[in-house]
Amino acid sequence: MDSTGGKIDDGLSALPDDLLHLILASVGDDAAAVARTSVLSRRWRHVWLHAQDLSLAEADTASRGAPGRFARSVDRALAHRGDADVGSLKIVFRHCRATPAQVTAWLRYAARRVVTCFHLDLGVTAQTSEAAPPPPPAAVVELPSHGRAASVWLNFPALARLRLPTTAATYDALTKLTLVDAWFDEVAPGGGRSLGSFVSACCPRLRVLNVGWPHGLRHLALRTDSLEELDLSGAYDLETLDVDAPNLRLLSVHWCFSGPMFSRVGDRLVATKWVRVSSARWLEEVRMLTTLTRRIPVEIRGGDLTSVRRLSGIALDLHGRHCVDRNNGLWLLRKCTRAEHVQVDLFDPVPITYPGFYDVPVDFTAEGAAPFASVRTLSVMTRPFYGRHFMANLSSLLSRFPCLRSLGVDIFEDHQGNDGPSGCLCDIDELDDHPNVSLTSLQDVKIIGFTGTEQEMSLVKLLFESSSSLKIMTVSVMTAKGKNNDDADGGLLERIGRELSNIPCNDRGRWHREGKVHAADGGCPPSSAQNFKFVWH
Amino acid sequence: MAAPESGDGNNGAARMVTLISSDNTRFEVEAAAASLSQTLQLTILDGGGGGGDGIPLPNVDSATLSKVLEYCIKHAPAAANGGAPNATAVDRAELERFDNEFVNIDQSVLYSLIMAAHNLEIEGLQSLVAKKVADMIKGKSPMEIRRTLGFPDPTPEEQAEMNAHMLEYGWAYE
Repeated sequence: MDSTGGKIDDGLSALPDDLLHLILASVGDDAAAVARTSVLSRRWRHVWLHAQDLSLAEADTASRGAPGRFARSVDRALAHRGDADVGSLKIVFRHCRATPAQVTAWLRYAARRVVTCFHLDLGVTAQTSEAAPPPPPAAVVELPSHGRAASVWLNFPALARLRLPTTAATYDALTKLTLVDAWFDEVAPGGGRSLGSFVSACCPRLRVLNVGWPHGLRHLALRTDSLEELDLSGAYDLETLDVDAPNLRLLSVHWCFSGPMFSRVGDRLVATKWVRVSSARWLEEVRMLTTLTRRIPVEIRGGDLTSVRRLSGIALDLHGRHCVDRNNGLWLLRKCTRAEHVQVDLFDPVPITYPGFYDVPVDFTAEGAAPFASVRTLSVMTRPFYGRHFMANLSSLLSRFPCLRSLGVDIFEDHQGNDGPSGCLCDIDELDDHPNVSLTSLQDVKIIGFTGTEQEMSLVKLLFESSSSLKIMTVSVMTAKGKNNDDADGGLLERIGRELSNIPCNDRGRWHREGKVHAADGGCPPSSAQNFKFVWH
Repeated sequence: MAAPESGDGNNGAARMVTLISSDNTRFEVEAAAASLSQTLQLTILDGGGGGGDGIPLPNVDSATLSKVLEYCIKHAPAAANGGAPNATAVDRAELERFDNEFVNIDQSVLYSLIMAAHNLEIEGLQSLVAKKVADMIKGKSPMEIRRTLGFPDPTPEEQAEMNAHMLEYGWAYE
């Protein structure tokens, strides 16, 4: 008679491959756990390699292994599958130790065999220098001219330049393309097709294009009927962006462009960097942050920006009532007259030491300036402001959003002490001269990163003064993290609670404290900033 | 024995069908529950399984079939709601509790169940058992996986083969 173990083994081994694959698929994202099932028996040895979705991932501790070992293991796994199609294929390196020839072979394999999703993450390159940008890699890897996958995700660090196919190419099924850290080959003499030309001519169904931290991507011109989302991040080399995409819904240009943006022609300054968006009648969401010192020209052709409902990442450089619009934040707020949701990074511009270096500041709170009356939800991220700039900037900002229903303020860190370095743009004497703020529709407020400074308390006071419609306000307290000073935290919370209660508020609510108790109450040390909340309702 | 078929299907008793296991046990069950099986649904839609006929299931023994039907009866109301978009959180929590307990059984029964769910095309039950077996695989060393799933310890010869394979795919064993 069989032992129990023997019987169970028989049960599992009697299952058809379909079911073994279903079990492996249920293991989820843990590539190593799936691969380890090969130790069960001879039959299981290669079951995992033939799964519909194959995932190969180098371990966190890979630095211990011999260089190139994981890459050889990938070669072996793909060879084992032979000519069978694969649903999705995911290859994840920790450190980039593949050869360009290997990567070329994997790209070719994927182009022929992968049906849904091909994900190749080549990890990080070993030698990165903080001081100088590394030179372009010498080797070139060319993308195959045809691909079957619906989605391609490539993290392509300094192993090789990425050459897009030079000959007639088709990626008919491709709907989503993500390229991270790639060195584009288009500027090199004899280099490949440009990214813009590849997307426009070879990817007729592409709906989503994400490009993150590209190198050598200077000009991007897209002519595409299918594209709905364009997300460019960290494209510092970018000079011109020209998007003609009638179905575009999301335009995100995040931390792009850098360096000088004008050249002098005679006695005129001519913009050498610009953004042009054509016929984007359905644009719903815009995110725009640059690393430039001046506002980059943005041209909207064949329409306007009134379809935009969400500005999900814009920046304003405020100095009290003054605004330097180097990020187009103010420009976008003015153009997107029907935007309902706004997420704004509030910068504090550095002092102006070189006249002409920055754009001329404008009065953000000027009388007669149209309010941004369509905005219902505003989410603000503050930077470390000097002294009274905190309230000067926030009151200036809030004065332009009279119809808010919901406000979120994320206090990054509040500078205490002096009001700013010398050379400050605004007149120090003006810092307490706040514009009138009236928020008659405001219902809920969330403040996080609160540390209880006088300026922060003034913000709470302002919100109660300017709104009688408020229903709930949540203040999450940032305690001294890492200091493990329970008594100090307890004292801080007590003080904040007391001071909040002293702020005149309408009689419909009162303050409650939520979250973990502090040491004085129960000996439970505070562990993170979000554990303590004061809620008014 | 079989309930009379209600022609109008409105206020009569629910329609019943009879299923016959490989060891000739007859199970009478509501058509709605049996229809969780894509295979049976077709037969039932064709009017089969009613009266004294019964639907023979030569691949499923009575112990397994009774367990399968326990699952189907519990899940039938939610399935009737089209995947239960209207279900309350309480209903969903109750189903989840049932599922967790349901697969808390001997491994040999698990394998019979997933095999039956596969043959009868009961997708929810297949996934449920697959997830249970997958959970037994996760986060374990090679020897632990073998022991958990009841594989005998390897012979020296098999151990050598295993070692060679583990060396080839070293990243999975670090």
